[in-house]
Amino acid sequence: MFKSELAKDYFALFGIDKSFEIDAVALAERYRFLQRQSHPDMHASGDPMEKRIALQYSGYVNQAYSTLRDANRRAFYLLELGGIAENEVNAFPVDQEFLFEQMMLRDKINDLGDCDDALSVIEEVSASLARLQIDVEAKFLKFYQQDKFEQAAPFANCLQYLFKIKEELDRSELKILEEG
Amino acid sequence: MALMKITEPGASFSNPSRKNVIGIDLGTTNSLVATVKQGKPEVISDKDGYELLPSVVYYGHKERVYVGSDALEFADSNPVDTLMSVKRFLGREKESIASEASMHKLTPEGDDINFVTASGIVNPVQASAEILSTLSSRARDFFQEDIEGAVITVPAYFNDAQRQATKDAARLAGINVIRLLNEPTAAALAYGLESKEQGVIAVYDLGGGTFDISILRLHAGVFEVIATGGDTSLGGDDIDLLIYNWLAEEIGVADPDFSVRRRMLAAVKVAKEALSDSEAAVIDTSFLDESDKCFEITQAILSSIIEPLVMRTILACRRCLKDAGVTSMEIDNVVMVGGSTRIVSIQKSISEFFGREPLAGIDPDNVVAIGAAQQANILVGNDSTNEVLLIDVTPLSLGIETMGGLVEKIIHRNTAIPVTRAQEFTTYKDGQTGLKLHVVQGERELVVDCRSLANFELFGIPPMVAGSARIEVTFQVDADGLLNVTAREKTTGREASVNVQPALGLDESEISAMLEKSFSNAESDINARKMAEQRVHSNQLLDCLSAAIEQDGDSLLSDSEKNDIQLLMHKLENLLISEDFEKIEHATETLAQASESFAMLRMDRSVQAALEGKRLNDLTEEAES
Repeated sequence: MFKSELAKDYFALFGIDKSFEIDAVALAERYRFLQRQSHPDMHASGDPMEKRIALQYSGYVNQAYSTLRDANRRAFYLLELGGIAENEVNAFPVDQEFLFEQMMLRDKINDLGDCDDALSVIEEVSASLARLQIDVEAKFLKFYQQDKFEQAAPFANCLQYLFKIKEELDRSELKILEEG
Repeated sequence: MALMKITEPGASFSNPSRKNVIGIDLGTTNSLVATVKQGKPEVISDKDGYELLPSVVYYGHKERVYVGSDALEFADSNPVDTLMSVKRFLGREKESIASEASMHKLTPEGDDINFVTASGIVNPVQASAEILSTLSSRARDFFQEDIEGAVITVPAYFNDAQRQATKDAARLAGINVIRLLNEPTAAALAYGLESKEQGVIAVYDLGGGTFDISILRLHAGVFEVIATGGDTSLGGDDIDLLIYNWLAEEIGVADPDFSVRRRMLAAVKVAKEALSDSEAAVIDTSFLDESDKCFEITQAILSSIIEPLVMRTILACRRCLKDAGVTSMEIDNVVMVGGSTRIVSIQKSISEFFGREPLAGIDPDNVVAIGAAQQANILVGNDSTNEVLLIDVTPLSLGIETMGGLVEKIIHRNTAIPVTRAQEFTTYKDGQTGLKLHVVQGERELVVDCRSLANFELFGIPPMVAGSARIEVTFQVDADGLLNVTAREKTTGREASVNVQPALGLDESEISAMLEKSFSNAESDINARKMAEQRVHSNQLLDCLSAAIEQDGDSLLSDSEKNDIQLLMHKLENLLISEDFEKIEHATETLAQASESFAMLRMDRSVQAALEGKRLNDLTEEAES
């Protein structure tokens, strides 16, 4: 497919260094710039071919941006560039201590319904998640920078866990608000 | 014409000839049309000076269809043939609108909605087309010239079927749709262009029949929709219904006939509107014989009647903020859209929720049409000073049915569009040559809880051992939010053909049939026009490609790739001498596909060059500062 022939990877497309650390402001700025070049609206009066290409290219830019700006997806993408596909990453076991910690958090979320002070528990879980996020990102970064992709892989899985717990927490919070 | 013209921001639009384009707000209760004249947005009124066109179509006469206030006049005397709030039925299944359609007769068979009227069977697309063509002829009178195109707005939360139905209606009305634009995005654009501010904007859009909430970020002329949410069956009509129920209980009318019901609703509406700028209003129920009583409704009563509905909208706002990853504190501006936002208690609740007063200044009834007109103006290049770009999202997840009636999501909601996602499938039987796919839209995990969009059948898979075929199905959502699906068998590179059967709505032949019926032209005229358009399109492609090969053929294509493309070009050139429409169409399509990756590479090269130039600028700016 054409995509492999295009700008070598998403980082190259955005003109930034291939790294786990991202300057979010610069990334957003590049995104807006790339969309200004490629968005179908910028080619609205072009011929049908031009419109079609704009549609595809702009979609490619969107795909790249959504991958790069999210730590979890960025980690998996970097490993993929390093030669480990997503399903292979999933096979790397996650640290027991982390598993235990995330289980405790899930329990807290599951019990929110019976909780008198649900909102403060939500705050507490959010804070724990934020702390874990920083911790896991740092560990991933450390191994990734040393090109130790296999040692970085478990932490990509951790990031995915954290992402899912965050989603669960958001859902529970809305449910609690809904039930008033 | 260059194959891939990269527009330089600032220098992009230098088209000297102005084009007559319009923005249409196809609303549930009212519709309107606007344009931009000498840089100023302007709502186009009818010859009597009215801006709002009631979205009502009357089918009580065999000879003639009435639209707008002319149609509304029949609402009391002949409610069955007077179609109101047609938008509520667009692209929906019969089952999902049972209570809303209680005023009308529907054909019993099928899932599609078809109204039985005195002038025959009418579907919601046709009724909407009547409204659209009334507006477009209003615009034609205004310009004294033909209209080149329109941006038509849809609720952000409209699904694929509803969007497609809107586009079909426009086609039926003979309108060239430049873009479908989400209503809240249009409103944000109208305000954003006026204030030139940056920051995070929340658009609260409570229309006649739908509720939308969108969170956008405006930065350096780019509007990025971050998240959108809402409810396609919640709006001003529901407010009327809540007041109606309250009134019915007060008077003790349990189950009145059509005409009484409609008069009560009309009286309720009048009172509701009066409450926008007074503490209390009187509901005139003098048409009820047994009662000469007038009922007073106060702000406090209205507020308590509609509270559950307002809470539902606020909950949707919370959900949307979560999706957007922002807090209500981070919202810099709140924009209110739709007539229902005139209700004092709604304004109060929303100001409290976001902690700031909503922006005022543009009439909430007009703001969407104005934004649409501005977008139309920008898109066709009338506005050379404007560098605004809108990047919208898909409001609902797209998925496919997997084993056990579960949904596997392929494109998640709030994904920026356009977007393309490919998914691989395989065969489960030896020698299997076909594959069925069911595409659904929605957030739920079970297929039955989601909206069925289409059934696809792939043919022509080369027979292989089970599990060894690799069929890549590509789902593409374009900038209008419309889905397109293609499939390819990867091991052989053969395109599998895709047979699309819309689960609902009109298929291509039905639309063509309706179109042909609506033209007085003979069939041969239509064919001649199709042929002429195809020739222009084919020649355009050939010209572009010749120029592109001349310029970049040697650096971007291998000799064999170049030969392949040139061979197809010759083939098309030779066919163009003939009158064979189908062969020409096919050859053009083949050539377009064959040259696609070449065009893509050219696009990539120029985008990267532009980015490179920008980086150099960054450096010089840094050096200077």
